[in-house]
Amino acid sequence: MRQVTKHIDLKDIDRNDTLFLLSYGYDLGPLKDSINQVGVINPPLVRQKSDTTYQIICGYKRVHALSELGAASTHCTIVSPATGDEESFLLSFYDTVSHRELNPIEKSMAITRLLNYFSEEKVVSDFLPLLKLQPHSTQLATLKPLSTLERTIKDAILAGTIDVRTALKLVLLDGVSREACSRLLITLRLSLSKQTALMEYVSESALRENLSIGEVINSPHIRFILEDEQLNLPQKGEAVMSFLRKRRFPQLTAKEEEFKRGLRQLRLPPDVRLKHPPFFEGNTYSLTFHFTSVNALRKRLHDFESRLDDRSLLTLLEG
Amino acid sequence: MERFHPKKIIVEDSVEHLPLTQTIIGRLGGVPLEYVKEGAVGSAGTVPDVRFGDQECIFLCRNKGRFFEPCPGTKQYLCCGYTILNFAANCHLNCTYCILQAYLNKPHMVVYTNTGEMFEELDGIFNHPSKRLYRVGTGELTDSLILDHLTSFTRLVVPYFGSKKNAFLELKTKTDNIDNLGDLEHAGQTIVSWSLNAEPVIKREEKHACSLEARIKAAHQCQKWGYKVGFHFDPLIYYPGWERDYKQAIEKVFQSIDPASLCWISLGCLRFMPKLKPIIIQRYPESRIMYQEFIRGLDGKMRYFQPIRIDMYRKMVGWIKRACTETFIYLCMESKEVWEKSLGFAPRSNQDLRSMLDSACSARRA
Repeated sequence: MRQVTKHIDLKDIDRNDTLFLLSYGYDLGPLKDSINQVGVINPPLVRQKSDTTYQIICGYKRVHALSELGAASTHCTIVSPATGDEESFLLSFYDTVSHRELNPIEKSMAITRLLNYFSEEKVVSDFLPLLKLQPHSTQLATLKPLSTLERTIKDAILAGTIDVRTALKLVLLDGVSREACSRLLITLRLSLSKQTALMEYVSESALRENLSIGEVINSPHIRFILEDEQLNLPQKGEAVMSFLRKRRFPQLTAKEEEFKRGLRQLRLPPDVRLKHPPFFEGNTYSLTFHFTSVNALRKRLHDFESRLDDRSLLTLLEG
Repeated sequence: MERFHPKKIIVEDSVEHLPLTQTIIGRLGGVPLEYVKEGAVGSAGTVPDVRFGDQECIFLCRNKGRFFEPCPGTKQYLCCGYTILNFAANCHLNCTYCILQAYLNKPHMVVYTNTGEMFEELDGIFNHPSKRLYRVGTGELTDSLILDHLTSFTRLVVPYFGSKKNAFLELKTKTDNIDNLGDLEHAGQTIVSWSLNAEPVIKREEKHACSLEARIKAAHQCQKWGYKVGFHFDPLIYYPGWERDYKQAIEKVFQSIDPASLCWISLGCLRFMPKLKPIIIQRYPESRIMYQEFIRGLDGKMRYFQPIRIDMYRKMVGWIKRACTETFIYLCMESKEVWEKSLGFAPRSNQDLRSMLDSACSARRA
């Protein structure tokens, strides 16, 4: 491939042309520091678009950094005008994957672009391993939609506030519902298991009640929790999850509340725990307490035995 | 209801010569036929997942395992000691809640045509000196009658059970495919039963099955032919306003059915393995049945929260008893506690429940 090196004005490089861009969510700070210290070590690789403009193949970040540093021009390597899109993309792809692992959004961008030039089978077998992915078509189908998400969600994925698995569920929602869900997820910064539960509660409550997901999320109760200045973020998360669970499982959660009220009436010692059967299915309750000796055990059992005729206990266990 | 008519027949070469194979091929004249070696269409991933499979194909093969086995009940709930006879597998009715979606790994309608071996196996069991009474169902992995216009399987199996004193056959169906049953020597040993549901549930979740009316009409016809009949409101599906629709279904049953030869009505609320949920959501996105209050039961299956089940059973029992006090009602896969709270009594054990059902088979007038 014939290449020439030339000094090019930055104004002649079209930074809005992102045909070969494979970077997302980057921090220009370290690169700017490096350029300040030693200049641009590897010149950007560009292709001539017209008489006066150039298209970036490799080096978007370098051109951006130079621009932010106020540079007027830079040395570039120019590929032959005959270099096609596929070849140019591969230059960008191999340049990127050879020196760092792509983040999930970048992998999605790479997959989407590779599919413009190659068959699904070839992308799976030849390129997924280079992206540090298993060569399975499910990987392709799973990651591909991520790059179509809104910028706020992509940023949240990279920031760790929305898990990739949650994001893939967001992909399936309509735009309004996705916006409502992602806003709540970003606000609450939940663990993955809670994100999963939240998505399930919200979408299933909407289906149960013939409402939109937005209507469930924008309910006054959730707004009230989010605006409550007395609550810190984890407390808000707990309160929202509790509210959504009650909405999704009204009878089960009512029964749990009833059991808790019954326990309070029993006034058991703090280290004694009486648990109902999981989901109240079956009739096996469990009682836990601590003791340090046979005598202590005898005393605890005696204390508890005296409660066996307590009406509150009977109500609690036998309804 | 439109009868099943496959677009292709696949025959395993080992069963090509068997009479049932020839009967089915003969009835499907003109349908493309392909012969394959034994094992070519196996369970080891040689065919796609049943969820995306082609039920328009019928696969005639040898059952290399056992035809007869105990119903896979669970320790945690009362089981009735049912046994199952697997002569076929799969069902093209495609009810939204069907467990076969998560259970079978062959996409085709399968018929095991080595019935000679099946009867040998059954002889070995029923001819064994034992006081045990067997209740045998063929509707576990398929609908008992869905292929009967092609197989005439009932013409083999009903007279066979008619000759046994220690075994009852239950044909469980959602069809009205009963033409073969009219002139058979059943000797009161065959119970024809229908899985019933409220009409809106049939329209939404059992779209390709017979209407409620057609099922009851078929049951009425079977009674006229001297068969005992049974009904299974299973799965009962909860939705706001379910009471009105299920009550109407019960009223319709008793408007046509003579209680004297009604063996039983069973009740069972919708339950499913957790892995079925995503399959149903994917295949039937318009269905809402997955979004009620399910909890994980003691057997790991998802079930309605217990008070919901008890409420449904109590009301169903009340409506059935109001229509006919004598009806024998039982619950499928429920705990003693739920029995007590729904029916006012509970079998002491699995054996007790089994005896109750055995008696119900024997006592009813055919």
